[in-house]
Amino acid sequence: MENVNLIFKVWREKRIKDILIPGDKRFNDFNLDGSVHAIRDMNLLIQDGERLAIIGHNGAGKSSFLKMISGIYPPTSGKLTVDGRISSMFELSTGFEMEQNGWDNIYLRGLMLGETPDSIKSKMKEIANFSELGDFLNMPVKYYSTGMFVRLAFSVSTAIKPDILLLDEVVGAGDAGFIAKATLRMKEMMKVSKIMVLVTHGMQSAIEMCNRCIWLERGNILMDGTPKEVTQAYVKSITGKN
Amino acid sequence: MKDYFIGLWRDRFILFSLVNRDLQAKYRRSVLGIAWAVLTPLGLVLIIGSVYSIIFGTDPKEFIPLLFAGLNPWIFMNAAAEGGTNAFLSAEGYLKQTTVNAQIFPLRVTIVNFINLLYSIIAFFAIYLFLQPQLFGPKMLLMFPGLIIMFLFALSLSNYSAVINLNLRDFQPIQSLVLQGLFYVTPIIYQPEMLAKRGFEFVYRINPFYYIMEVVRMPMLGLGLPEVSTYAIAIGLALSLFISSVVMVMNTKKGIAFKL
Repeated sequence: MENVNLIFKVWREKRIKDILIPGDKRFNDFNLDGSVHAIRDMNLLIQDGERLAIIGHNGAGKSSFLKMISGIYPPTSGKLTVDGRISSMFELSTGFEMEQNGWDNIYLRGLMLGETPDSIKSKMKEIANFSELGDFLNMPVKYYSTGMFVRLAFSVSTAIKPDILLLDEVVGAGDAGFIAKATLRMKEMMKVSKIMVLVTHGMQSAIEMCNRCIWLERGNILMDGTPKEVTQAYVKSITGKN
Repeated sequence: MKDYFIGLWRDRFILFSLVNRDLQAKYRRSVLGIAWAVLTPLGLVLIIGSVYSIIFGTDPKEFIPLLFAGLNPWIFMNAAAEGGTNAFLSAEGYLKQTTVNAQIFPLRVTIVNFINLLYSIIAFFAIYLFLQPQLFGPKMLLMFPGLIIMFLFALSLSNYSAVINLNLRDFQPIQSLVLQGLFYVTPIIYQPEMLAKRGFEFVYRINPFYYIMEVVRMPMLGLGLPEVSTYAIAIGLALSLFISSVVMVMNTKKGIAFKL
C-alpha cells in the first residue's frame, strides 16, 4: 500500500431523479421534469496528500459529490476514476442495526467498509477504546444519542486505515473533547491515508484540518484554493448578501 | 451473471452476519426462543388438521402429514416473496452509505426463511415418525434436491419482488393478494386428486408452485417420487426464473441509491 496513486478525474453531468420521497405518487406531477442536476460537468483531480474541504450552501451538491466518489451514486455521464481503498462516513443513525448493541454494530460496519471478520475483530478493542463509549457498547444502539452515534461511526470509519477517507460534516455533533480527539485522529490518518475529503459547514475545521478547499454552488466549483482564501470568500458572500 | 456471484462472495461475511442477526432478532426476548420455529408450524398444522378432520371427516393420520408437508414449504416461498418486497428498502441505510453489494439482501431474506423451513421440517419428521413410521425410507433423502430447487425458486421470487417493489411500491399489496389466491388454487390444504376428480386438473397443472411443491413434498412424505416430467418442469422453472431475476437485480443494482 505504499505510494498508491490516487487520481480521479470527474468530468460529468449527473441527474438525481426520484430524490423525492419514493413511492408517493401524488408528488409525481412536479417530479416529472424535476430531475436534480446535482453535479454539473465537473473536472477535478485530487492527488495524494491532499486534504480537501468542501463547503457550500445546503443542496449545493456536496454530499452527492462524496457519494459519487465512494461509488454509491454512479455518474450519469462522464468518467470517474478512483484508485485506492475508501472508508466513508455519511448520514448518521442510518446504517445501524438499532436492536443490536454497539459491538455488533462495529463488527457489521467494519465488514461493510471492506474488512474481513478476522481483521475487524482484531481492531474491535482499539475502536471501542477510541470511541470512549465504555459500557454503552453493550447496549442496543437505539438508545444512543446523536453524539454517541458520531463517536461510534467515526471510530469505525477511521480505524480501518483507508487510502481515501470521506467524511460528511460529522465531527460537529461530538462533544468538545471528542472533536479535539477526532481532529488529532484525522491528522494522524493523513500519515496513513493519502486523501481525505471533508464536507463541512464549519469554516474553522476546514482551515484546521485541510490544505485545499473547494466551494460548490449548484453543482459547480465556484472556487478552488487554500482553505483560508476560499472560506474567507465564502463567508464574505454570505455576510455581504445579508 | 458472473458479477452476481462475485459480489455475493465478496460480501459473504456481511450476509452471514445479517442472517444471523435476523434469526436472533426474531426470537429475541422470548422465553422459548428458537423453539418457536418448531412450535409455530406444529401448532398451525394441528389447528387446521383438527378442523378438517372434524368438518370434512378426513383421517387426521393421513391428512396432517400431507398438510404439514405442503403448508410449510408454501409458507417459506410466501415469506421469501413477501420479505423480498422490503429487502432493498430496509437496507437503505447500508445501500446509501456503503458500496455493499445489493444482491445480498434478497438472498438474506430467503436464507432466513429457509432456515425456518428446515426447523419446521424437523417438526414434521417428529410427528411423522409418530404417525406413520412404516413410510420412512431412503427415498426421503430425495427431499434435499427438491429443497435446492425450491430454494432457487424462492430466491428468484425474492429477487423479483425486491426489484419490482423498489420501482413500484404498489407491488407489495398486489403480490399479497395474488399469493393469497394462489394458496387456494395450489393443492396444499387439499389433495391434487380432489381437483382432478372435478375436472379442474388444469388448475394445478398450469400452476408453477405445484411443481415446485411436488419435488419437496412427495419425497418428504415417503409415498413415492414425483415423475421425471415434474422434476424437469420444476428445474426448468427454477433455473429460468433465477437467471432472469439475477439479470434484473444486477440491472437495478447500479444507481440503486437513487431509488431508495
